[in-house]
Amino acid sequence: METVGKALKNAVEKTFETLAFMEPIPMASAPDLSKTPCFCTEIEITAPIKGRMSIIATRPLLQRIGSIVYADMLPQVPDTPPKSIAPASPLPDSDAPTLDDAVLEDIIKELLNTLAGTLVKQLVAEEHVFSIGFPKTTSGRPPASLASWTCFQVDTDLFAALVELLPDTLHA
Amino acid sequence: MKKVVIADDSGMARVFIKRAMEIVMVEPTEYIEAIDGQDALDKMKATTPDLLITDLNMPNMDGAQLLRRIIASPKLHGTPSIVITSLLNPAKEMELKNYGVSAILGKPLDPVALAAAVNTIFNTEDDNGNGW
Repeated sequence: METVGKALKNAVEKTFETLAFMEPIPMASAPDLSKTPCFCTEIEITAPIKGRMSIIATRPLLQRIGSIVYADMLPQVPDTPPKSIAPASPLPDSDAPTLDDAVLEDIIKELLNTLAGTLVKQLVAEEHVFSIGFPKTTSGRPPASLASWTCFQVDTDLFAALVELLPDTLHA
Repeated sequence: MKKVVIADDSGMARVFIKRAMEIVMVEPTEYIEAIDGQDALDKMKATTPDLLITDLNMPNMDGAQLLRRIIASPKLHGTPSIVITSLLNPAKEMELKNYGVSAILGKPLDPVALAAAVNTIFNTEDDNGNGW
């Protein structure tokens, strides 16, 4: 599982850095998210390896990602920042418009779609195509214990991922 | 005005691509968003775009089916296309070569790679005296 763990860490780092210019830091112990508003989603990994990947992101984290990606494309946003390859500066939290749940759900699903693809690419020989399903929203509450999850701190917010693979399919 | 169709079932993905394209495109450009392959096909038939940027993994009609329909369409055949997908690896690139795709990029999307792909398409079309 060490290979999967390393692949997961690489996928999380690459995805957060490229999408939202954030640096996720692995946490040594699982946080308690029972009192934190979260979004949870999962995706099936269908071929050639089989399994499932699940992620949990706190609502404030998804809001921050959304404020970076959407920034000047939301009608309420004042003063479009100058264009550059670097992202527009995220709006200060007090000025950032609140994104509704449908948008936050879309953000976490796209996050998972990207993460799953980046993860599986590292686990499958390059001469094999691979496939994943569509992200599905699961419960709005995180599991009681995140002990088996890989948890990350992203600035002051939290993110967790769980990869469950059928061992027999792993060496494709 | 140039027209670009962006097909992805994720709103965030479409916005991310659009933002990257706005940095690349010097000329005024109209962006037409589509939520799946069928929606993209319908909009392409209505607008005859200069470029299609599409995801692969979409419900209703996926990106591969969309590309096959474009190849088979007398009106849309030859429309330059860029695939942006989380399923990218060398094997998938080989598979997509049969669909006449101009460029294949992975997710998370690197805006610099998108710029290079778009500029290659534009310059190729300029050299042929067509399109851009």
